[in-house]
Amino acid sequence: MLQLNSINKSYRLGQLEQQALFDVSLDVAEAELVGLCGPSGSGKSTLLNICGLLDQQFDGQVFFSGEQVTGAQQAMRLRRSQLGFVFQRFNLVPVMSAFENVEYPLQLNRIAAPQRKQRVNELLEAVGMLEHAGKRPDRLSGGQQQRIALARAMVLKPRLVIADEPTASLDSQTAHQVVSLMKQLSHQHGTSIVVATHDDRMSSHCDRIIRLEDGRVVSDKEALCVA
Amino acid sequence: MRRLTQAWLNVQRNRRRSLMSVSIIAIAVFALLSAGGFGLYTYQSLAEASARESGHISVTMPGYFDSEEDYPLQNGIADSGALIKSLLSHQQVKAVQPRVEFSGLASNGEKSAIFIGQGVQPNEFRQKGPFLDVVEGKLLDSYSPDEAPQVVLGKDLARNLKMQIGDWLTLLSTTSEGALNAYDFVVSGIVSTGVPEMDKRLLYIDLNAAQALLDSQRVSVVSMYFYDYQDVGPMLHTLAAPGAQQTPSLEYTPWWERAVFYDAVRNLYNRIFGVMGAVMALVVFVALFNTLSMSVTERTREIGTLAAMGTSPAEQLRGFVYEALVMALIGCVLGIIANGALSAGLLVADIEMPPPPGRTDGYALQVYFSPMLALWVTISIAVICAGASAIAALKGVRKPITEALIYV
Repeated sequence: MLQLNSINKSYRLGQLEQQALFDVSLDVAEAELVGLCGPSGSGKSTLLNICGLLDQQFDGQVFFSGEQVTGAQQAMRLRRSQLGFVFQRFNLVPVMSAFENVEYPLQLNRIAAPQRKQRVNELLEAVGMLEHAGKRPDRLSGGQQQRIALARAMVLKPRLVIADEPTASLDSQTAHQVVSLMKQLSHQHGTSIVVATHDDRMSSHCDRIIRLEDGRVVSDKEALCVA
Repeated sequence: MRRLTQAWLNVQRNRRRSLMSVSIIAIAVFALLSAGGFGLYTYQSLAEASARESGHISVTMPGYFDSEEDYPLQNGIADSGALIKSLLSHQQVKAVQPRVEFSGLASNGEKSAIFIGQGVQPNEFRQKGPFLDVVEGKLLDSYSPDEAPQVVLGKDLARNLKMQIGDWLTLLSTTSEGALNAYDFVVSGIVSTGVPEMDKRLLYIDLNAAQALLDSQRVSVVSMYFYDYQDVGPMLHTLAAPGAQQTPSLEYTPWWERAVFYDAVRNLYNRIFGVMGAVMALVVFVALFNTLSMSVTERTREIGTLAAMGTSPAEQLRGFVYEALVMALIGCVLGIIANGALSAGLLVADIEMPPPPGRTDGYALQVYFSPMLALWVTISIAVICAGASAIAALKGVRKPITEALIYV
C-alpha cells in the first residue's frame, strides 16, 4: 500500500548539513499497524512526515497504492482523500465543534451534507463521543479530544493513517482505549496505520515494529519497543 | 454561512485585538463618510447657488461669454420675446428670465462710483428664492414708465455713495449707439450678496429701465430654470439638435461651465478628501495586516494541521479573508451608524460655520448621509481588508507543513 525506496533525507542547519535518514526502505501492507520506534533524533518524525506525504524534499521514491508520488499537488490530493492524521496534541480546530472537526475532511472532499451527517454520527458513535458532538474542543478532556481526532482521521475511510505519538498526552487508561479504538477502526476499514511512538502501550498493539537509530532502520519485526 | 460563522468565531479568539481593528475601521469609515458627506453638502449648496445665479442654462449669442463687446449689447439677443416663448414651451422648463448686463457710473450728485448692473424682471427675485440678504428696504417693484424707476444697491456701494432708502441716484452708461445716457433712480432696497467685492459694485434695476438706459431692446442673456436639474443635460442635447436651432443660432451654456467658484472648491475638496481617503486606507490596511499577522502566527500549527489534511493554500487564505471581511463589515456598519447619527444631530444642532474666504456670511454645518457613498466606502474598506488579510496570511500558508506542525 505504501512503499518507500531508498529514502535519504538531510537538513541544512546554517553551514552544516545533517543527515536525518540513510537509505531507508519500507513497505506498509493493507490494514497493517506499523510502529516506528527509536530514541529522540533517530529520524522517526522525519520518516513519519515522508510516509504522510507531508515532506517532498528528500532523495528516493515513495509509492502510494502503486502510484509514485512526485509533486506537492499530487501529495495534497492524496492526503485529502486517502490519508488521515492523528497528532500528539490532538490539533483539533478550536472554533469548530466536535461534529464539525470530524466533518471537515468530508467537506474538503465535497461529500453531500446528508451523507456527511450520517458518516460523522457513525464515527462519533464508534469512538463513544456522539453525546459530545456539539461541544468545542476546549470543553473536552484530552482523551475525548484524541477520540475526536481519531474519528476525524478515520471519517473518510482512508487507506493510511499517520499517527504521531497519539498516546503521549494521555493517561494509561485513556491511552489504552485510544489504542484499542485505532486498532478496531483499522481492522473495520482495512486502514493501514503508521504510528511513531515511545509508548510501550501503543507498540504492544502494533503488528510490526520498525526501530530507527541515527536515521537508519536497525530492526523491522514484531517486537516490544522500548525507547 | 458556516464559513462566516467560523470566521466570526475566529474573530472572537482575541477579542481585544479584534475590537481594536474593528474600532479603527469604524473610525475610518466615520471620518470618510463625514468628510464626504460634508463635501457633498458643500457641492450641492454651491451647485444650487451657481445654478440660481446664472440659470441652469444660459442662452446667449455665440461667443458672448468669450469675447468683449465694443459697445453695450452688441452681442445681445434681439427678439428675446419669441425666444422666451419658445423656451417656455418645453415642459421641463420652470421659468425663463431675460437679463441685461451693463456697467457705468453711479452718482449721488457729489460722488461717483463704478457699478456693475443687472437689468432683471422683478419676478426673478421671487422665482430664484432667497439668494440675497435684504439689508434695508425691499426688492424691485414692477416697472411703470409713469413712476420713478427703482434701483437696488449692494450694501457697500450704498455706503460708498451714502445712499438711504428713497434717495435719488443717477446711473450713467453708454448706449448701444455709443452715446452717453443717464437716468435717475430711486433707491428701493439695499442688499448683501455675501461677497464683499460684489457688494461694492452690484446694483439691480428693472429690465425695461436697463434697456431704456442703454437705448436697446436687446437682452444680454436669457436664463433657463428647470424643475429638476437632472433635465439640464438632456435639454442641452435637445436644444443643440440640428432641427432645434434658432435663427440666428444661439449658444446654450450649462451652469457648470460658468461656475468657477464651484469648480475651484470641488477640485480643492476632492484633493483634500482624496488624500484623507488614502491615509485612512493605509491606516486600515496596517491595522488589519497587524491583527491578521498576529492571528496567523498564533495559528501556525492549526494551519499546518489543515494543510496536512489536504486543505489547499487558497482555501486557507479564503478563511482569513472571511475573517477580515467580518471585521470590515462590523466596522463599516458602526461607522455608517455613527455618520447617520452625526447627520441627524447636525440637522437639529444648527451649528454655524465661519464665512469662507472672500465672503461675509457663514453657513450651516451639515453632513449629508449618502447611501451611495456609504456603499462605496464599504466596498473599498472590504477590498482593503481582504487584501491586507491575504498578504498577512500568505506567510503562514506558505510555511512548509512539517515546520508549521511543530510551531510552538
